[in-house]
Amino acid sequence: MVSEEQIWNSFRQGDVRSFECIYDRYANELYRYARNFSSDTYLIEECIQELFTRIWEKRTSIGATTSIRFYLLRSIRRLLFRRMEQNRKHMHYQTDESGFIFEHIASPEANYIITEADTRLQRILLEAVNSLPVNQREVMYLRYYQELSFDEIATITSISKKTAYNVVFIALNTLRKKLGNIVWLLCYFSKLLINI
Amino acid sequence: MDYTPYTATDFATEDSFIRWVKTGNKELDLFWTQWLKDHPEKTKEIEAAKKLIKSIHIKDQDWSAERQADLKNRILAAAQSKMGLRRQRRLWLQRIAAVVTGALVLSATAWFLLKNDPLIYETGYGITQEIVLPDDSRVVLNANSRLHYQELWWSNKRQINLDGEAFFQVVKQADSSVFTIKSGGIVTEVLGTEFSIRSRRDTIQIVLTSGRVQLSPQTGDAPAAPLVMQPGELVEYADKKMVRKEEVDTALYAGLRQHMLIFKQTSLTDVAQQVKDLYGYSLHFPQVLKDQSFTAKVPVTMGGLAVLKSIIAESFNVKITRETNAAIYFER
Repeated sequence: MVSEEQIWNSFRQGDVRSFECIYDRYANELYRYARNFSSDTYLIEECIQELFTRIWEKRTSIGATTSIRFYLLRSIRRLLFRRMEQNRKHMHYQTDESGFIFEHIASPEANYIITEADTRLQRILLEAVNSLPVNQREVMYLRYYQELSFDEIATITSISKKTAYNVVFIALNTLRKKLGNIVWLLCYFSKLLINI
Repeated sequence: MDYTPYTATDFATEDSFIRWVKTGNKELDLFWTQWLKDHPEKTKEIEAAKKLIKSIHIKDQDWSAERQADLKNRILAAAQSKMGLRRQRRLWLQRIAAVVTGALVLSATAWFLLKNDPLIYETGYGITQEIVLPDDSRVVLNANSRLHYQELWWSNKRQINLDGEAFFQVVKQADSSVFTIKSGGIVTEVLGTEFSIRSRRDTIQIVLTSGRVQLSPQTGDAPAAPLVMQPGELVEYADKKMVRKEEVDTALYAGLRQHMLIFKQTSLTDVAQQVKDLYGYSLHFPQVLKDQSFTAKVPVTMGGLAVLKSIIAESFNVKITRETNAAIYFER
């Protein structure tokens, strides 16, 4: 597999196939990320189009990057926020803010779940994650789904690196506390499993 | 870090552990695999923690493959259409040069448009032209006349310049914006109305059929109080000074509306002058006819001139004895 850096560099030299490759790899992720901020799928597609058209136009002046993912996530977030802000100003556009943002759900890969107790554990963890404030959920998302560094998360979400780190720390702590009361359950099932 | 007292919950909320499960990071994989080998008694806790983490998923929002492919095609099409420009974009020096050139061209164009390139309508002898302005106002431009306006600024300012004669039907705008005509040193301002202007040499004559217009001389000094015309009035200025103001039969002055030239009890001297202005021929009559007057209605076309010639010949019992391309001689 070609490395991100190689793809990025040949894209910067005007290689259309590398450009396509970047789209194929990241468009879907960008879409999913953006969907957490807006339910307007056309607006999101427009932003993705604008982003890719823009990086193609500016390819010669774009610097080297070690993380295409970071670069694109940051750009799409910025673009989308700006467009949503414009919509709000000019059209009193009603975005569907009631939708769950960065909502965590049970994994569709059901094979992780084998017992009723697992299901219960999962439900408790889900509740715990989803009860985190939205900004914390986004930070968690960027950390654990997009594998971004704290530096990168700080840049994207316009918070300091320290804050980003604290958010993850606090979120994990909260989770740990909320999950504390089920520890006995885990132990119990561990024993049960061993006995089997 | 000592992970030995960790329960499944602790693991499930441990940063490096989550990242290992979520992303399969190589270094983390090395570390946790090794740690598990060293602590086989923790296998159950770790498995439970892994299961916990893996069972949690960010809600995926479906994006149909079709729309994804569709968007890709649009982006690629847009990108490829910009390929040709690539070379030009290479050097920043070229870009600056382009910007500077662009600015020069733009300002030159603007200057050209503003100063030198209004929309001009010009009629030759014996030809009238009907003009519909951008606001749907209608102008009939008489022969040997010239009308011009700045198309670029029309939406800001309805203003035209006129040399010669024209009949106007100005459409009143919803915002009551003024329609301005500059001609013969007189500024005629109207809202919506019908009137004719005849501006030849230093004299300008305005005849108002309906509506209201306001006249003011174009002077460098403090402008004189404008004159508000009433329908049915004729006002004449010579050298920017009002020399005549009277009620007239406006129909006689509105012939141009139908592209007609109307004479009613018009002195032959005046007829000759108008024929010279509109058809480009000077008429020469015997001295005895000098004080005669004349009535006729002919189209402002060269055919109309032919009709006019025969009417004059019949009315005054004269014959055309000589005709050049600039003069017609009538004699008894």
